[in-house]
Amino acid sequence: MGRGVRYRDPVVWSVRLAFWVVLAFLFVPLVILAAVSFHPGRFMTFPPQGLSWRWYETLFTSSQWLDPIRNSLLVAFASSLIATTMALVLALVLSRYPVRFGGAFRRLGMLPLLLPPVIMGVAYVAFFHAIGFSGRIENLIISHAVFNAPFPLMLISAGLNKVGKELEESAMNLGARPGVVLRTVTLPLIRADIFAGALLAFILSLNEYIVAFLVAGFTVVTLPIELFASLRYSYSPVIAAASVVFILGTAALVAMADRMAGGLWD
Amino acid sequence: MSRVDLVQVTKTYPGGVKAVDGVSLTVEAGEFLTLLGPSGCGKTTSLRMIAGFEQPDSGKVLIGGKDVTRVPPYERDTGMVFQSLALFPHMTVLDNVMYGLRMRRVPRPEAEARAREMLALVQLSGFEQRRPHQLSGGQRQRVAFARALAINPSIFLLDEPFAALDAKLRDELQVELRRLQQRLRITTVFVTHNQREAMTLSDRIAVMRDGRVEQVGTPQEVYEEPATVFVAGFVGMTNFFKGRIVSKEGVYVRVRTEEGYEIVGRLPAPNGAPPDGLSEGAAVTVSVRPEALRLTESRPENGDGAGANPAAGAPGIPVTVDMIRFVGELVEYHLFTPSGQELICTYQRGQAALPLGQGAKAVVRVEPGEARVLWR
Amino acid sequence: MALKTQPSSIPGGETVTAVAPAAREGRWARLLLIYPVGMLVVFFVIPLVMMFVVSFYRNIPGAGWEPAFTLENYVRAFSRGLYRDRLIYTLEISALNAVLCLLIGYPFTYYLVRLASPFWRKVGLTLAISTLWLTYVVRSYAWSVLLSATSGIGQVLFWLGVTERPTGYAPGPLATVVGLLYVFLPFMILSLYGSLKAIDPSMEEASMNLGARPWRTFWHVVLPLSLPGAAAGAVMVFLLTMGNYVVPSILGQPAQWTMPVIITNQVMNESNVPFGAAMSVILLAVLGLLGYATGRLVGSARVNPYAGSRVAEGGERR
Repeated sequence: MGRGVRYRDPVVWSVRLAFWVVLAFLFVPLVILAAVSFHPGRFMTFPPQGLSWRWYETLFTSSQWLDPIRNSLLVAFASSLIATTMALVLALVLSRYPVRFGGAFRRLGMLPLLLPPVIMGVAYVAFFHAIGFSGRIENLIISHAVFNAPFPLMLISAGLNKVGKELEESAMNLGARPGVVLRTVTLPLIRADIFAGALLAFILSLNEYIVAFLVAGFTVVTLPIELFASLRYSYSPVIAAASVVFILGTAALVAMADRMAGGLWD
Repeated sequence: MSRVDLVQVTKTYPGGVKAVDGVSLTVEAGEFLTLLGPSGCGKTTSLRMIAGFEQPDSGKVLIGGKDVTRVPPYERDTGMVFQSLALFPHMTVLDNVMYGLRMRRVPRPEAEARAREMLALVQLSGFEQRRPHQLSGGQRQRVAFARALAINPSIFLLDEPFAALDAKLRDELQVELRRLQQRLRITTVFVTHNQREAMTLSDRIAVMRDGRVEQVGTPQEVYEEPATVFVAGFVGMTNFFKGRIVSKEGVYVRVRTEEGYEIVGRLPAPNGAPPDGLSEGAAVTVSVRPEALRLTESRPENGDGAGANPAAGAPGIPVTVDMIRFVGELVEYHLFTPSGQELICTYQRGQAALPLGQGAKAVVRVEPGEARVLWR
Repeated sequence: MALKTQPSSIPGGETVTAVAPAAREGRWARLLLIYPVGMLVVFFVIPLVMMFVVSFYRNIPGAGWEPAFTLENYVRAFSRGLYRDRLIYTLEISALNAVLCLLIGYPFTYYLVRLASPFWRKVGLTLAISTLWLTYVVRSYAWSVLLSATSGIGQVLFWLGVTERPTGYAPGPLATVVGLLYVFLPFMILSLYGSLKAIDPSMEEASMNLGARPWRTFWHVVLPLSLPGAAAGAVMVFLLTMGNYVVPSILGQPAQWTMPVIITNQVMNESNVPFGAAMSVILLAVLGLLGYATGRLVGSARVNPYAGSRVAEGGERR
């Protein structure tokens, strides 16, 4: 049913214009970054001077950048693993069994969402220093895991709700014991949500700056930390190249996650 | 009170779907016309074109003789009731009904008085300060009527307003709507896919399919003289027989069906024939309404019965009774012919002559003059 | 089915009850809960508690802290004008950002929601949201380039002849505002999308049918119905901006630094964890208070947008 009737009304036209302006606003900065990264000269002049891969070469051959990339991937992988397993257990148990403080546990699982990362970071600094384990990569992994757990929790809970008790009950009615039901009915059905949740936690960890900086910023350098530091203390288009790689990588991961969860937007 | 004209209106959606394909229609001033058809036939699109929410790709829309094709909806003199009712939840009933008047800059006291008048007309006096979510479905429906009519439009448009109501409420509201419309004598265009509703409410019905109007006529015309096979099948129940013309006898046409029976019927009036007439041997479909099939006992001496040559003697179609349904005021007989075709025959309760049971053998005859021969 | 036997009240007899497998499995399953709950308690709740506790410790400059109970951190936070000013600035810029995101995001989302084709709606929404996942660092960096004298708008304006020499706008107040807007606009769009989509389009059509031009339809029908969603979105952006470190840090000069920046500086550069903790507690308290207060306000103003539309109901009363 068409709603796009062409009214010759100034209000309608200005809204249409605003739409395109905002879209441009959202993407132009990223395009500029790409332009800078391909520009042979150190500074982007206008008009541009041509195309070059040199900054990307630098990026992928210097340990200044490769180490942080490695660290980021490692931390992201480990923390998303922990976050997803936490979320899976929490979601499964709470949705299938009556637990005395079930509601409280669920709220606890979602609580990290409400906290600004910087405050969480400070809390971790206090905590890890107090127990004497500062600046380790394990700290970072755990921090990210706990902090990002709400996201796979949301996705898996939503997936479980869609599966519904009836499928599982009918499996039991046909003779499957609870463990078998879990293995053959429930888990396969939420597999996509689990994967998407893990991917989400991965992406978030990869892109996270402030908690990483506070918890282990001087000892474990992740990609965002290296980017930030380079901004402060030097200027090089390699930063732009790293950013573009970051953008593309994140975009690919998000597309994958979106595919799996069939639309992430609530 | 104005007339509405759709003149050769076409609308194609991206993807090539022709929602409305060269529709020309006139709604006379003060008339209640229903656009009837299955989903996707273009009836709602046509209605929305009258309201101004769709622009035809070609053709014209005239209200009161004036070309309003390019006029935006808020400048047209139409009052519309939407399928979802679309009552404003953040306003009271009174504010809802006053809305159109306020938009026309009618001073508040006057607008309020008129709104109260309308609410009284739909028997909702006393409900002015309620909000939509506090009303029952039927009450909301009537607020929607009041709101659309408060602005005193020349055209009243309704898009399947009763679709989600249960049968009883639906019947009651249909009666109310008709009464309202007749009292105000307002030109009304109504859209529905429910043929009984169309027949109950309308002065005339336009039966639509695939973006085209197949027939326009009074409920009686559309029912008794369907112009096409589609109309015959869509409006009410009917039995179809495919066959070829054997001979013509004045206005009557003798058709031999595929199973070999002969039925005498006539072309639908008026002008039911193609421009250059129908020749013998032409392929046609005969439509016989269930109430035009009469059941009689099988009489072998008349040549009835399975295998008998029906062309000889008094022709009848042998059938076996499969199921008998009692539907309140009607009794429905579901019958099978020897070749497996299902026929439906209905009698008024109390007039069912034969004490037939399931599996009984009988013969059906067509009431003279009731069969319609359709060539398209 | 497992059977449980117990001595019963009848002498010499036993009561046999069946214990359903669900109960047995349930016990085992509940045990499993120790993993996620334990992690959350040890690595989420306790650190927060520690932060609260440490805020009362005494800082030893350059050498960590000394467990104590002192209010000197809080006193310093409240009495020194610098920190009070930073808190007020943080509130102001967060409010400004919320308003800007709303003003710009609303027409955008409205247009998006009213697009005819579901495909383009999805594309539009995806595009709008696409920058959400990207680290604040890259997004801020992009603007620092775009607003720089050497590679961005500064160059364009100079080339166009508008300015005498290339000027940079980052870091600075303009850059901070633009950066915060850029970073949180997608949140607002996402939040608004749901609530704008829920408004039945027939209501707008009904309004137009009754004679209201597009602007008046918007003002009288769409706006009131979208208010709760818009308010919720604004509150969310406000709270998020309050807690953001990266954008003011990269795109702002010290005059634009918000509480998170100050806190981080204290912790990382000054190694004054107790003071940082105290300011964090204050920030948290302010956020909590504001979140609660606005939550109550938004909740009470909610109007059910479905009331006027058809909801299939069985058993209608007349």
